[in-house]
Amino acid sequence: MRRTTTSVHALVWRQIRLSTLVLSALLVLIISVGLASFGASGGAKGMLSMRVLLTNPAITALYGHARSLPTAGSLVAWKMGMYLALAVAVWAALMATRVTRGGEDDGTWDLLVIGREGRQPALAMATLALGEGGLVLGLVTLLSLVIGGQSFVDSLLYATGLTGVAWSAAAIGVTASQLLAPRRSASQVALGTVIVLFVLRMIADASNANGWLRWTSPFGWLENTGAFQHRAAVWCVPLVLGPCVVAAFGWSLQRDRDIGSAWWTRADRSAPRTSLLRSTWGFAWRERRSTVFGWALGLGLWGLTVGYLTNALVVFCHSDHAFVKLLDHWGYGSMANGKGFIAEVCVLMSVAMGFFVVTLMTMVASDSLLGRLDLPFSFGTGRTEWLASTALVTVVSVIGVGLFCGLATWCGVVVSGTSMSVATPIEGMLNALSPMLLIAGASLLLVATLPRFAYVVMAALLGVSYLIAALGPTLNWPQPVLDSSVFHFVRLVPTEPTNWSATIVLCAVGLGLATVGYLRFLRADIGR
Amino acid sequence: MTGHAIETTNLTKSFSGAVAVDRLNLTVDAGEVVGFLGPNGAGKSTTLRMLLGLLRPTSGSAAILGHATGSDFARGHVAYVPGDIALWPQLTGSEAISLLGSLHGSLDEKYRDELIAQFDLDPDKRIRAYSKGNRQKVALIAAFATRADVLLLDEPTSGLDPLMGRAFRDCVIEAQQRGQALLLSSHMLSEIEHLCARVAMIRSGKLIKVADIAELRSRAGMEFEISGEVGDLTGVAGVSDVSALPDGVRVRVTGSPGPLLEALARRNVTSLRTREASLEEIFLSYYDESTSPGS
Repeated sequence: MRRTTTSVHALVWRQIRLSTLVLSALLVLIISVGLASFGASGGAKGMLSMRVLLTNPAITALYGHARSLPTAGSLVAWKMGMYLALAVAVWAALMATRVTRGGEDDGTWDLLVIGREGRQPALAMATLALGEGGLVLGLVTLLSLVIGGQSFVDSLLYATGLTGVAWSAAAIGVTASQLLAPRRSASQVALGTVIVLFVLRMIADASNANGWLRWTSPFGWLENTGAFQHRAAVWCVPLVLGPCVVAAFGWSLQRDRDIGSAWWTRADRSAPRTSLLRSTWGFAWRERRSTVFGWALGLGLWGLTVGYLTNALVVFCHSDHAFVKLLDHWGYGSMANGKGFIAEVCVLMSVAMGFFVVTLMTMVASDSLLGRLDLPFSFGTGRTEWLASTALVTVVSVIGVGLFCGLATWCGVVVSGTSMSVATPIEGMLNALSPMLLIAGASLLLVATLPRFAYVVMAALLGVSYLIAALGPTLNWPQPVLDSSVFHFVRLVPTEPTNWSATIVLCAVGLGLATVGYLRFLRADIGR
Repeated sequence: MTGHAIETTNLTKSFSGAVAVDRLNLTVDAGEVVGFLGPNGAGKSTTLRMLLGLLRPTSGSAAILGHATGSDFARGHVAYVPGDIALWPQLTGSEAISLLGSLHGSLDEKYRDELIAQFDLDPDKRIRAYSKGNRQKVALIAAFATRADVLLLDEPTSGLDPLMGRAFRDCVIEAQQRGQALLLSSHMLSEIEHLCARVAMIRSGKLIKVADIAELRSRAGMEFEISGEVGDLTGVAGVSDVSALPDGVRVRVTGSPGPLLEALARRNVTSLRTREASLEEIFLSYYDESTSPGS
């Protein structure tokens, strides 16, 4: 048993170590920059003026509740805390489905669990290794805050909460892997659950009447711990026990099923549907459509929720001129009206859409590494045709999902009682797509040169790029640094005109990267 | 056009400085089935993957029907069966065959249906639900049903049961009779022996022998087991490897057996058994490091 479980533990660590390292580096960077932004914003004195902002329902829905922001740690935990937790949760859910369901899909687990003691210790060790990964991220967060001069107790409280969110998402991923096959289905359900839990927290924070919903989500529990605020360590209990219960449930589900199977799986037999198999274009769409629909659903839900908050912000602004002045002071003056708020939301959507583009483009790399391109490329298909199909499906999907999110946001706005033209969020979303060609081009270059690391490298680049765009101007970073971020060029459309010159440059650079990537891909060796 | 279905000229592939295939020169003509033999890691799959355009040669060149591998023409005239099939798991067998046929541009649907029956494949099952042997059948059916001019088969029968192995051999013979060229890499020497007139042997990336199996056999000689009082045969022309048996001797004869038979005619022989060298013995003689390969 010891040998089996040790092997599983080592294998899981081997699978998650790179992404854990990259995410740790990003956490250190984001927290360090966040702490530095506190001083640049006038320190505790400057934060006093933020008090009004902290009571606005739209702001609390986006960032969570905070009574005051007297320290740099409190600013980081409030302004970035939820989104850092979301990033960690997405990582944990994806890693969990990768090592458990992915291992069963590719047969690795057959070899690992044939030991005398059976498979349940193996699953327990895999879950433990995932938990250790979450713990590493928590420790990195704790150290970053403490070395940054923040209170140890509050830092520990926030880091514990973050670790608990990671454990919760990992437990969800492990359970989804027992319920669903193949890995793609398990990942979609796990990610969908994480997004729903995040949206539940948003709804809870949007009004006092829905406050009880915070109890239903690990993100709500994290907020309730009150790190750098009111300190309620008791909420660490559900953050530790919750994942244990969910993981134990997943563990019990494994007992009565065959390795390689799942409780719910698509039927093994199906009548042939060949309409999308007659061309590479059709096949590229068929392979990506469930991913596209999943992203559309997740981003649409987020757009709907944020759109619904518009009215709360607008009404608040109308009743409190001091608040409007404060928004102006912080560079968020445009948010005082519905249009401006939607424009800000669209800029945030741009980041999410960037990850969507990377997901679609790097599927070529994973297919190549799994050996799936061997047969298509040996039966007459050219690499140019394959890449062109991928690019076309990506472009169409990104535009389609962008329009859908714009429409969902508009529906949220209208339902909230605010009058707004449907063109407003649509225009904002289309403008948010301006860096996508560059992101697609960079993804293609990495697919051709570093296929094994294409997704991780692009995800890290997008994270850093957003950080530069979000905090660089506040910290007065040099212009060349700001210009290195693609999101820095995304204007607040429709309150501002589209930055056409920047858009043209971004597209030109994107085409250049795509051309180099394409030429490299033509010369690259294909396969495992 | 050179006239060869497959032609490689000094084909070389290195991975991080390690030479996997070293200046390989090989031709296969239309209507020919050539066996490609070599121990694990010798460079067989790397050679096939270069012929398919999946791997780019470090130096040298390869052509399919006179056109550079990887070109539109070459891709349109080749089909491939790997030893380890990787396809999208949610596709059914029938969908996978349709996809590969569409990508190739031609698929003989009548022949596809015959092959599905011949290989006893359930085409409505998803790839993920197939056993290894059934996944292998999907690739075999797709490859043969395209009627491609050149078929590259890399251990195509690994995972197939003996009955399906026979179905495979029937398909290869039919393809050969249609004028298709086949390069067959396999560790099943009986299969190669049954299907191929010519074999190419590769070791450590270098082609060490290309010859007809009959020629190899002739060079390897015949084994004679002679019972009776035959005396000393060491001086007889063509006779080598003389070893004693309880009731006689065993000898190997290279070239004509005439001198041996003449010598035996004058002696008291009670029985005589002959056996040709199997391909396995020939193969082992080439790959046994302690044995110098024949010229």
